[in-house]
Order: sequence, then structure tokens, then C-alpha cells
Amino acid sequence: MSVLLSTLKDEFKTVQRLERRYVRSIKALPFGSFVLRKRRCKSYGYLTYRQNGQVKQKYLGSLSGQSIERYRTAMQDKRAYKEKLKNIRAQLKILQRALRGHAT
Amino acid sequence: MGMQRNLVAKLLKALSRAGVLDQVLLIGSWCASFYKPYFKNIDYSPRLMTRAIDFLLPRHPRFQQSVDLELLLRPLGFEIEFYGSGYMKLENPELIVEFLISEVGRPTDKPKAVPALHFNAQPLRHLHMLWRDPIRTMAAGVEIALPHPADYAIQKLIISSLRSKKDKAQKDREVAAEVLRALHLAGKSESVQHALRALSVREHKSALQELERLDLHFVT
Repeated sequence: MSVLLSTLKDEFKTVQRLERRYVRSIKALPFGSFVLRKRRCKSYGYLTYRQNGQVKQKYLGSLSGQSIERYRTAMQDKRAYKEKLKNIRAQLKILQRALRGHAT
Repeated sequence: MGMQRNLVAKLLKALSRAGVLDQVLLIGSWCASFYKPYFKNIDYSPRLMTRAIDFLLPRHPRFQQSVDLELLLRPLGFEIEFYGSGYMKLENPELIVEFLISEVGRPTDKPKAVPALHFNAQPLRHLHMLWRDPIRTMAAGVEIALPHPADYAIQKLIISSLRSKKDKAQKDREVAAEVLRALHLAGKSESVQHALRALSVREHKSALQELERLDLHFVT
């Protein structure tokens, strides 16, 4: 087996592992987008998402400043992971094409 | 590939600013590509660089200041991932940063904690020889230390004989052969002899066998 093929196979395995890792990381974060509504002096959080084509909202209750910050950080992390996942899936496609049937 | 090279440049700059590069050797497949300035007058062009960029720590690392590697490299998209018995890697979709350390004494699967870097390095055998005569070169505007090409090639030959996977062993041999041929063409074959002389009896024997197998005995 050529050195190039074996290197590509190793890369393919690494990229698959990274894909699994990013999917796992996204799943561990709150599902949907974080929305904050202010009523009088209180802030109320919602997670907005789509289910069967319908927009749904999950009520999170009245949130403290610390909780709001936690949700905002989680949303930032999710955006970063989604970007990484997009990148890694593009690499996976290239490697699959390069390996053409030699991937396993 | 361009994105990966840019990231390597940013990584080297960040490590240099934090004073980490003063203490470590850059090894692995990326090291071979940084030998280009050393072999400037001959045709030397390593082709295969993997996603992993490896740094070798000294046996007793002494960093002047404590550096949290994860915090330092987080802006570049790196995250810590734990492996096996607890050693760490910093991962990004383009690059995986590993810190290795020479393993001496009884073999162990325990990682070596490096408190100054807030990191667990992976101990591996046959790395000590890379510290014999390091060279310094410029990469991405920063000074990096690399093992001497002769030590790098001989170490690749020794580990190739220990690999269980044939294709990995073959890759090590090809990289070693490319560097050894470049040393020969550059008229620096005596450095290979120096590297061989510094080996233990068992390592010396193994390196000579590999050189014989590759028909590269002329470099000795």
C-alpha cells in the first residue's frame, strides 16, 4: 500500500473522529437560539427552534445575569462548533473523493 | 493547505510570544518541511505533512513563566482533547498540536505532567537522540529549534523498525531516506556518522540494519 494512501486513510479517520467530536459538543449545548425578553425589571429567557416546520419556543423562566451570560456563551460556542463542523465536513468530502472506495 | 500553513504560522508566533518555543524542538512531519533553508542549494522538497504538529519537550522542562496552553491557543480555535491514559492534544479542524517527551526508564503509559504549560505530554521512546545537536532556523518570522537532520533521519529509521503497521514504517523510511540523501548531496554525510556514534549499541545496530535495507550505507 502506498504511503500516500495510508496517510490519507489516517487523515480520514482523524477527520471522522473530529466530526463525531463536534457533533457531540453541539448536542451537549442548549438546542435552539437563545432569546431574551425584558418585562418590567426582569429578563425572561426562551430557546427558539423549529419542529416539523413550526417555530417553537421553550420558556426558560426569569434569568439572573449569570444565567444570561451562560446561555450567551453557550450560543457563541455553538456557532464556533458549527463553523468547525462545516470545515471538517468539507475536508471529509475531499478525502472521500480522494480515497474512492479505499476509505475503510 | 494554505489555511493550514497560515495556522501553523499563527501557532508558532503565539508559542514564540509566550516563550514556549525557546524550550522545545519542532519534530514530526512538519519538521522535515522546515529543513528547506538548511538544504537551500539542493533539490529537497518534502511532500507529505500530516495534520499533527509535534513539539518535543526537554526531559526536565524549565519554563521561565507559566503558560496555559489552552488559554493561549483558544483564540486560534484549539481545544484540549484527552487521550488514552490522560495525555492531551490541542485540536483544531486544520491542525492537532502534540507535546511529546522522551521516555526513559521502565515503560509506562502514564502521561508526563508539565505544570508550567498546564499540559500532559506524551512520553515516547527513542526521542532523546533528537536533542543531540539541534539547529535553529526561521519560520513564519520566528526562530524555531529543530533536531539536526541527521538525528531526525536516524531516529525515523530506528522507530520504523519498531512499527507494527507496515505502511507507517514505510513512511518513516521514506522520510528518513529523503533527508539522508539531501545530507549526502549537501556534503554533510559526516553528521550522520556523528549521529550514529551517539546511539546506544542496540539503536546503532537497528539504524545500520535499516540503512542497509534502504541501500543507504554510502551515507555512513
